[in-house]
Amino acid sequence: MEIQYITVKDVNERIKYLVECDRGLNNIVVKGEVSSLTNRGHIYLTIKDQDGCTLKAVLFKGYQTSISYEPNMGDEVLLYGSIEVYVPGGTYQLIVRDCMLFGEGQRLIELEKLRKKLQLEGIFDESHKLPIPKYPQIIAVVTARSGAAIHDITKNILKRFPVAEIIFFNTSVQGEKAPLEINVALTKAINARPSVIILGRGGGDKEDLNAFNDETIVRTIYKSDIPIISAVGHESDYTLVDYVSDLRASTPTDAAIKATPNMHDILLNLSDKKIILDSYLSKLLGAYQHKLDLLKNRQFFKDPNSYLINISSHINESKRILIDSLNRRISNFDHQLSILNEKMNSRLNVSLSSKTARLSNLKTQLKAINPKNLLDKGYTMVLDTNNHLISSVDEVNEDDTLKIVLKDGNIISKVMKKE
Amino acid sequence: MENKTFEEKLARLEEIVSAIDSNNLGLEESMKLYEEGIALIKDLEGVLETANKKFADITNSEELIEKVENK
Repeated sequence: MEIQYITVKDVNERIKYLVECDRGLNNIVVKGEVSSLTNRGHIYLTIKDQDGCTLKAVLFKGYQTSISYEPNMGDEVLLYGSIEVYVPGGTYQLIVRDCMLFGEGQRLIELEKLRKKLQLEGIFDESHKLPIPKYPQIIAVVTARSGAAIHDITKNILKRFPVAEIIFFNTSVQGEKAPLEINVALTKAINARPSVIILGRGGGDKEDLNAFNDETIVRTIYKSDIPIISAVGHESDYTLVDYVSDLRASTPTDAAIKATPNMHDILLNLSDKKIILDSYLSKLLGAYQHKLDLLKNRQFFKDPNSYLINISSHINESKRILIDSLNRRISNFDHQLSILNEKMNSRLNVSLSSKTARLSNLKTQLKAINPKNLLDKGYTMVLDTNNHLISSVDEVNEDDTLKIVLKDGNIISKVMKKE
Repeated sequence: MENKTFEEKLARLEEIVSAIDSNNLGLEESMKLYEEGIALIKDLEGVLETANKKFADITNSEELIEKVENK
């Protein structure tokens, strides 16, 4: 009779099967202290618990890039993975897919809780974020004096926009005191009333960056009326400060670039504008000059003499015409006058001769009745003392004085008697 | 004449010229306008000359911009 036996391989395979079917050994989290660690591309480590029990684990190269935390000797860790049995060797180990520092998990949970709370409050709302000014005159930088961030930031600001004034507020950016110091420095920066604030630090691991998850700092940033650009760690690092800031930059250099305009572009723009201004002004001056030239080249201004000569010859001409016309009118009058003269003369003559004729007639008549003729004939005139003519004896009385007028003289007589 | 702008003075000069063209001027008026016109021309030319000089000066400080650019 033969004793029933199985092979080693059978045993190992059965164990493999059991293990890999056991939910309790797949996708588990094992806590332990790293008691040995070897890095041969793949990381081979042993973890040990408080009872001293050990477990071998391997972190394959392929998983190493996605790991949350790379374990070190002595670390208290949580390893995520599954137990695998290696049949040929009859051994088992934990295939590690992720690793975390113990306590770290707790921290992350707390952080996530805080993040959710703040988000619900609206602390991270886009609508609350301030725009970054285009031409910042004063840039405040809050970071560590000893870090690389300050150099990267100032170098890039000077290169792109050297007219900006930079004010530096020093603070430690990791460690226990960091959250308080950062908040104090940030508050000082806000009170300095710059155009924009850059808050940042260089790269580091999660623990180093943790200060920038502090709630007080987040609220300070939220309340700030000065825009804040955050630049914490590297490209893929995100802290709560990055969510609340008005603009997140992936690195300190990126922050400096986002905070400033490129001076070269500004100068090109100005150069273009200057060309436009130049040509406008040139054209304007040219046009005015042209207008003025046209006006000043008028004969009136350029050769006023000839203009005046025109006027004076004008005047002379008018004078001549005037004189001519006056002359003509004068001779007209002359002519009229002589005609009237003639008429008058001839009428006068006629009138004169007729009147002369009448006159001689009257003269002759007058002569005829002249009393002196009677006297010549021997008649006498008797006058009283008043030289009145006596023509009747009734007009005299006795003793009256009478004047008798004869042709050659007078006789003064007295009346002796009336008959 | 001091308070008038360049454009106002130029407009006045054009007024004078069109008055001359209309030929209705008496002797005294012609003389008055001539005097005024000449004075305006002198004034305007002065302003333009100053402007041109200033313009040249400013344009020549282009060197400043180039210097900054090359920093």
